[in-house]
Amino acid sequence: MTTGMTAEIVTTTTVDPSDPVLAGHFPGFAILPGVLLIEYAHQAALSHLAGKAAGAELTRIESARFLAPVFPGDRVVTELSVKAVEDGWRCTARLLAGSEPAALVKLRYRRGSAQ
Amino acid sequence: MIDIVGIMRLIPHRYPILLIDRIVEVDGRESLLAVKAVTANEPACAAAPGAGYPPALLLESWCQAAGVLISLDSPTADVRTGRVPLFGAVTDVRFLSTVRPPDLLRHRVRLLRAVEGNAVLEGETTGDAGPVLQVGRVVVALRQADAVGARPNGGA
Repeated sequence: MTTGMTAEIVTTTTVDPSDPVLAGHFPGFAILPGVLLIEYAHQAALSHLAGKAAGAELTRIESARFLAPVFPGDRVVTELSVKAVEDGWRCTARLLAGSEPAALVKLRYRRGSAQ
Repeated sequence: MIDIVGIMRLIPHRYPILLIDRIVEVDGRESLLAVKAVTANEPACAAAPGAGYPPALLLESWCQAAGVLISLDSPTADVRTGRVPLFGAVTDVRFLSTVRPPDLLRHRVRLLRAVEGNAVLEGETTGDAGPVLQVGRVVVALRQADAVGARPNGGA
């Protein structure tokens, strides 16, 4: 991908109520840990970048804003925009739980040295 | 020093997402140092042997240390009777090096501001070979469970 080109990717995940993480976060009141919304964006970016270059590496969370809690059973849609920049990629993700905005996440990746 | 039992009195996180082991140093209400041992037997490491520790969990672990710092005077062992810690925002978090078992993580957390159930914190983490994480700014909000939204008890 050349610098400046932008790709749009959409992924969907349903928060599995039986995911063991939810038992510990929190007992009696399950909420998806906010970092997992960052992880959803990261996984969407990685699966896209895997086809572009070996070993794209997450170097920075420029920012993440959490707008609403996400609960078990929620369907989370990740709308990811990937832009090639000089040393790698800049990814901007908007995550929706149902139709509600849940988070905005901006990630930076370095082009891997194909370890 | 605060051991794991003491940590569980302060924050509501539990297995398999209780990601700090011990608080080794507390400097008033301003700063603390927490440690976490990353092992190959952890679910995330077991799921992908040889892969690095997931950056999201590294950040979560740091944030739990931050949660301890802001809960020293108002513990929440159970969110149903205390307050739910929620991420508000994260700014400029840098992943400096890959974490792998058996790294011993040392999280330094500093409180920048605390106002009405919201706290702003910064800090960094070192692993066995040096710096692994730099946290520019994290905003944590503490909210009563009934103010967080519907669907307690898992919602399903």
